[in-house]
Amino acid sequence: MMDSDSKKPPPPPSFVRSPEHLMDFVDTAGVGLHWVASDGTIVWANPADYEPLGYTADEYIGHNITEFHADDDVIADILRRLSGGERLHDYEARLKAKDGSIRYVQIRSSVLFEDGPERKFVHTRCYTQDITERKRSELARDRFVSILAHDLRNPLNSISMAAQHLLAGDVSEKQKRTIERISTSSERMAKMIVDLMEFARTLGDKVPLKRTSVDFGAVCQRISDEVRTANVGATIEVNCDGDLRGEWDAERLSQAISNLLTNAIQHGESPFVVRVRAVANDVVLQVSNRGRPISPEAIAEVFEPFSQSTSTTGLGLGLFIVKEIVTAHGGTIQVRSSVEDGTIFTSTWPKTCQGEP
Amino acid sequence: VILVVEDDPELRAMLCEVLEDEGYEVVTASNGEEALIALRSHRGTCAIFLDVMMPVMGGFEFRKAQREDPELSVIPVVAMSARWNETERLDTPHCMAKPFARTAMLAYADRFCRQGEHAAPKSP
Repeated sequence: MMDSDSKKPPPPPSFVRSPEHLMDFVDTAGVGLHWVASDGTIVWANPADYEPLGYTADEYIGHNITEFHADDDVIADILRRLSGGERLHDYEARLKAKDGSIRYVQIRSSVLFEDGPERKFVHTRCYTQDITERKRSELARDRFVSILAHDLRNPLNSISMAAQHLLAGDVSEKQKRTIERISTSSERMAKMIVDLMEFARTLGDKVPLKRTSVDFGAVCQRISDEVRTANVGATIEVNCDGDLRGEWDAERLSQAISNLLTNAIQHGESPFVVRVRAVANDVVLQVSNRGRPISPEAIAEVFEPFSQSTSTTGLGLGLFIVKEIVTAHGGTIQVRSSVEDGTIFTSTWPKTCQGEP
Repeated sequence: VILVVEDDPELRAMLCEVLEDEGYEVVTASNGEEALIALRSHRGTCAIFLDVMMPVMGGFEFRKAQREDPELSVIPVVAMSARWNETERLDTPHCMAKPFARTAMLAYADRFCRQGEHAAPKSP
């Protein structure tokens, strides 16, 4: 490396027989490489840099880099950072192809400064990775989430509202039972939509968190009350121990506890126990149930998406979502299951943010 | 008068029917622009049930215009939201996540139109 802050460059390896060999190597590289002068002129580039954009070497080299960027503020920011000696890592930008289409790229770049007190800007060393396909699939995912969130919920809302409205009127016992089936099914479908949305949102990303000051024990009590109301006859005990205040995303935390309890009720027998205790800087949550243990084969895939053996919603996403939420909070989750002890899901929740992005 | 702003025709008709059967007078709009026209021609609207994502003028733009008009800004707005992060931007404490229950909607209608409560900065 010829950085001003590094030592003298090592000699070329003995098997590099000529500068032409090195040029051949960079010209056939699969990643785009270019050098830009301090005024923005592209002084050198390899074909992988300009060919995906549809340009020839003459149409690209010698031109100003700003001509090829779709966003003026982005390239201005890039040049400003580089001139200031900053190194760019996976900086995302949009380039204009010759046919007018947009290519998404990820840029790694730094400036080669001349040795000496003036640190003269020689040229940038820029590596460009085309990420257009990945961006397109992300956009498709966002569209998918939007369809789930919006377009499917409206007709579902009409169905459930119509059923509830009929039930509020004068109906026979037989009609009542039929309408209740419509209601139950639409509720189940609503839950599936929520789970699918969560799943789609977590694809490739961590669950986004909004941490606020939360009393873990109070959230457990509230969710247990809700689940108890929805599952008449289920005995749910809540045991709290220690200082259970910390910083979590209250909505996500509620969702995780609710999914764990719903899973216990669907696959186990009473009593269902929610045990929460403070251990050092963590809160440890245990949700347990009695009944038939989970088989070793099923345990192995219990947190996998669409694992039908432990499906809570018909989709098998409930426990996967729990794990994503725990992990996003910097915690862990395990499960043990035996005839003697029943099934116990143990999760740890650090009380404060521990270096998550 | 209750204003229902919803672009899905089936859902709009259903919400309207539920409210009318409970004795409320209902005006409907399929986007924010129609909603503003309706509000200005039906003085005395006691509550607005507002969808968020709509063509022409969505819920956010509607709220902006509504809040800028002193006469309209006092009318309580109940957001009918499909996405978890929408309601904060709508700046209303009243929200029903789709699919919401008939009883939830009627509770809001009762509170704002029969008990005469105005836009208050607190949750139901």
